[in-house]
Amino acid sequence: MLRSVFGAAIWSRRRALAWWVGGSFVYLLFLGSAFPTFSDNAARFQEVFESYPEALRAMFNMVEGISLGTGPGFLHMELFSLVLPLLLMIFAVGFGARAVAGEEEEGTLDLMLAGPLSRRRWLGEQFAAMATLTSLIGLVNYLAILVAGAAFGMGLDPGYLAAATLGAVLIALVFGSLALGVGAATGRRGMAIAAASAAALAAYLVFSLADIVTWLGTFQKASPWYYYAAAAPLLNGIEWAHAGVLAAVVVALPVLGGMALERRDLAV
Amino acid sequence: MEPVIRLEGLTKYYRKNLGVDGLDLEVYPGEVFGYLGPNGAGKTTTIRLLLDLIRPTSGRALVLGQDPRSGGPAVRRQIGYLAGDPALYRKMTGRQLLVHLGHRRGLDGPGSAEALADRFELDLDRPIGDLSRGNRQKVAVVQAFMHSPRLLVLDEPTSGLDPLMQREFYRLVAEAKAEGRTVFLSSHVLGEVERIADRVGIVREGRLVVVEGLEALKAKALRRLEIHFAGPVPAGEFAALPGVQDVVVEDGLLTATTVGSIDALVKAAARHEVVNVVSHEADLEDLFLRYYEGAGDAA
Repeated sequence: MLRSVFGAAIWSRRRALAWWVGGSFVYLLFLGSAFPTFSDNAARFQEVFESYPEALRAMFNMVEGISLGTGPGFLHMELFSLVLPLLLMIFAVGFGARAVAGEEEEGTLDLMLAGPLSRRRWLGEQFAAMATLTSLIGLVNYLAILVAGAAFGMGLDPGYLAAATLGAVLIALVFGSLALGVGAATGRRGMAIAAASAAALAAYLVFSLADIVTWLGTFQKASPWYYYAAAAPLLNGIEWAHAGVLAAVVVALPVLGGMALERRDLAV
Repeated sequence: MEPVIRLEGLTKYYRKNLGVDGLDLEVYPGEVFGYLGPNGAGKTTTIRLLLDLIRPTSGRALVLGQDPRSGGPAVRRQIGYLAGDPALYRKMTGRQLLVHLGHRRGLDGPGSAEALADRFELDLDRPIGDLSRGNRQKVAVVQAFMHSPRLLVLDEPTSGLDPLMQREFYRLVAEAKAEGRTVFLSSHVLGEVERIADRVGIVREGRLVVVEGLEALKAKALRRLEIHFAGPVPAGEFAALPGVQDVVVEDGLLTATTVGSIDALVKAAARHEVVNVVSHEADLEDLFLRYYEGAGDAA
C-alpha cells in the first residue's frame, strides 16, 4: 500500500473507510425496513404529498407520476434526492480538502514534494484515490440497496439503480474535486471545505427552487445538481449527456487547481 | 570544478516581509558548508528555494547544475532533505514511513535505513506520533541520508538530538564528506558549524554577510573569558596583550574579550595562581556586529 502516493492516500483512510462501509450497510437496511410501511399506506402518503405546496414538493425532488409506494419512487425521494449524494459528498469533500491543503498545513506535503515527486503527480494520484474510494463507497451503497431491495420487495431495476448511484458518486466528486482544486490553489483546508460546501448548497437550492422561483429558472442548467437529478435515472435509466457533464467538471476542477499549484509557493 | 549549489542574486520577498536578498554563493562537491544565522535570518527560505518548494522573486539558484523548478523530480532524487521542523506522518511507524519515502526515491526496500536507525538507537516499529521530539528528529535524519544522496540539505539538523546522538550525526556528516558527497547545513549555533563545516556563510536579515573558511572564522572568533585568581592581579599585565580587549580586573577576577586565539591571555595568567577559568563563546549577534563594523578593531 505504501508503494505510491495513491496507495498511501488510501492506506491512511482505511479505518474511516471501514466505518463508511459498515455505516452505509446499517443505514440502508434500516431505511429499507421502513419501505413496507410506505407501500402499505401508499395511497395516504400520496394524498399528503400532493397536499404539500409546490415549493416543498420541489425540495423533495418530486417528479410527475412518482409514487412513494413503489421501490424506485421511495428511494428516489427518501435516499437519492439528498441523503445519498450528501453522504458521498461529505466523504469526497473531506478527502479533497485534505489531499493537498490539509497535507500542506500539516507539513507532510513539504516532506513528499521535497523528494522526487512532482506537484502534478501528487495531485493526480490524490485525485485518483479520491475518485476510487468515493466510487467504492458508492458501490457498497449500491450493493446494500440491492440487498435491502430484495429483502423488502422494492422491485428495483439493477441497471437503473446503477445509473442513479453513478450519478450520486459523480455529483459528490464534483464537490470533492472543487475542494481538491481550491485546496491546491490556496493551500487552505478550511477554505476548500467552505467553498465546496457553499457551492453544493447553492447548487442544490438553485436546482430545487428553479421550478418555483422564476428568475432562478434561467440558472437551473448552470447548477451541477441539475445534471444529477433532473433526468431521475432511478426511474428512467441513465442520461449519458448529463453524466458526461458531471464527469467533465470532475476532471476539469483539479486540472485548474493543479495549474495554480504549479505556480505558487508552498506554505511552511 | 562545477559547483553543486550556485546562487546568483537569489532574492525572495514574501508578501509582507523579506525572505532573502541578493544571495551569491557557490558550494563545491565534497564540501560541508555551514549556513549560519539567527532564527528568521532567511536560512529556511534559502533551503526551500533550493528544493523548489518556493520560487524566487528574482535571481536564480542552480542545484546540481539545474534550476530547481525545471530540474524537478530528477534533481530532487539526488538530494536528501531534512526540514527545520520536520512534519512526518504520525500514524505510520518509522519503518512504514521510510519504506514509503524510499519507494519514491527508487529504493526497493528500507535501503540503508535499518543500519542508520540502529546507529541512532531508533525503534522503527513505533508509530511516529508516539515518539519523543528527539526520536522524531532521528527519523527525519535517517530519511535524509537513507538513499545516499549526492547533496544533503539539512535545516537545523541537530535540534532535539541529545549530545550523544549529535556526535553520531557529526560522524554521519563526516562519512558523507569522505564519500565525496556535499552537505549544506544550516545552524544558529556557531560551535556546531565550527565542528563540522569546511566553510561558513553567515546570513543576517536575508543577506549573506560573509563567506569564509573555518580557519579564518576561528581567527576572528570572540570569546568572553573569566579567570579567577587566588589573589589580586595587576590589570596592566593583561591590557596590552595581543587580541585581548575590554580587560576588567576586580580583586582576583579578570574578565576580558579575546579575538581568535586565547593563547596569549592564558600564558600571561599562568604566571599567577589560577583557581578557575570560564570561557563563553560569543553569541552570534556579537559576531555579526564584528563583521558589520569591519575587521578594523579585530586585532
